[in-house]
Amino acid sequence: MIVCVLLPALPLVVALRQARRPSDAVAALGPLPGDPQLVGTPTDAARSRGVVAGLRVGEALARCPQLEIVPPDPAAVARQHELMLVGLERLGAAPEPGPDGVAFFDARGLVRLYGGLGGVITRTRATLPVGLGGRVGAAPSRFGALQAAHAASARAPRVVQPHELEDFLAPLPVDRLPLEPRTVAGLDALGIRTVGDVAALSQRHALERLGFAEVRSWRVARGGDDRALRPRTPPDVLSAHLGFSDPIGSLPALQSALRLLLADLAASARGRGTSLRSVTVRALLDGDGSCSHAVTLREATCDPQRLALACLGGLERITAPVTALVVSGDASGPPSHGQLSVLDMRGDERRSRVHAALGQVRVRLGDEALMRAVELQPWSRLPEHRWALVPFDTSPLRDPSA
Amino acid sequence: MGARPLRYLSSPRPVRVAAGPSGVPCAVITDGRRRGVVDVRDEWLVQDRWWTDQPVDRHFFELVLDPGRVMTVYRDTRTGEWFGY
Repeated sequence: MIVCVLLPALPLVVALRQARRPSDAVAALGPLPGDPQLVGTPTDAARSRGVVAGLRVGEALARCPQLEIVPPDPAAVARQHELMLVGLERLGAAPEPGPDGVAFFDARGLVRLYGGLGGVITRTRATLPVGLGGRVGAAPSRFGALQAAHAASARAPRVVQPHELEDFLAPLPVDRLPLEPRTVAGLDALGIRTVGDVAALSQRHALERLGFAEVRSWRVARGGDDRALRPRTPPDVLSAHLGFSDPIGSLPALQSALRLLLADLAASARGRGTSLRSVTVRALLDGDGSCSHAVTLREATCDPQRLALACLGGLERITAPVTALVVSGDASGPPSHGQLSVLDMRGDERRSRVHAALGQVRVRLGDEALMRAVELQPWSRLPEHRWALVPFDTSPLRDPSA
Repeated sequence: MGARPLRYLSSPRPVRVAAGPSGVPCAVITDGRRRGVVDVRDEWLVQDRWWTDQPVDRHFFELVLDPGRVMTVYRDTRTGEWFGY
């Protein structure tokens, strides 16, 4: 059985908490700094007044003048999501992280440990953070488990047994399937409006209507899984932070601070004998909200220059003064000396061979055999003083990394 | 690396120059051939080291020779000899 843990509308709930607003407030998530001015997820109270996600802020306020726009806090959302995953890992589960507030794990390995599926679910619920309305669902497939978690309540988990799965999924609206909105609209025009309608299609018809790219949704609708679970490798997190007594808005100052933090992080990783696979930069903004920028490195490294190259660009999206910078990284990479070379060093090898050959010529023919013309006094009115010959330097090449 | 000997790339060598009445070269004999002067690009005087036993007193000409070679020559005003680079 696959177990799904769901913290519903996590970004909205976290933002309401940060803004110290109740969950029944007439509010909606605001746009991130630099993003289009569209509202995000609204609360139920706001939805009942006509506010839907994706409306322009002005239009949402026109529909609902008492609407409060709460600034999103992706850093706090990521923290809550990570706490949830760490809690599951402490149980012994190997969770696959989904979107913010969603995680899946296979309960087979834990059933005997905790005395059955009921015990696993009870332990899972005990790890969920208080006050976020966490829900737990279990089903034979990943999609079924997610829908079971949606159908569960904060107090009662929902378990869908294998023989119930088809009947459980059948009445759900077709937009629950992982389909493009355009495909959903096309299916609606054909009168296919529920997951059961999709499951009832033959494979040939499903291919015709969904195409190769989305025929996996047909398999999902029939209770199958489009792919196996991919549990994450628990990250080995390192972090460094810098707080500012006065909020900083200057980009060069932030860049300098970030360089310092990245150098700290790289030194910590090097000290452990590992390298960084990914880095997340979080800026806590003056007032409420935060801005987060995650970079997954192409190759694990602990070179501060490469880390700076990868991370500095994210600072340009910050649009408000910053009170603190937090840099965290996954230091589960291999030792840095085991990395492949980024640069092609064949040119260096050829140059060193040429130098060795020149050295042999000099040994054979003397210092005067190899000379280099250098400009001495190009301004001189005596032409013989303008250029000079100096012995060609054939000493060993210096290692640029030394 | 220790100190290395340094020497000038070019040193003046005697050349045969045919000069007009004003002292401006009109032909240079180089590599056994007489080459006419197409243009005088520059000329300058250098008077230096007059306080030593080997004073420098030269009248330089930067010449464009037929068919296009640029050559710098000078006349040692003390001896009247011509040198080129």
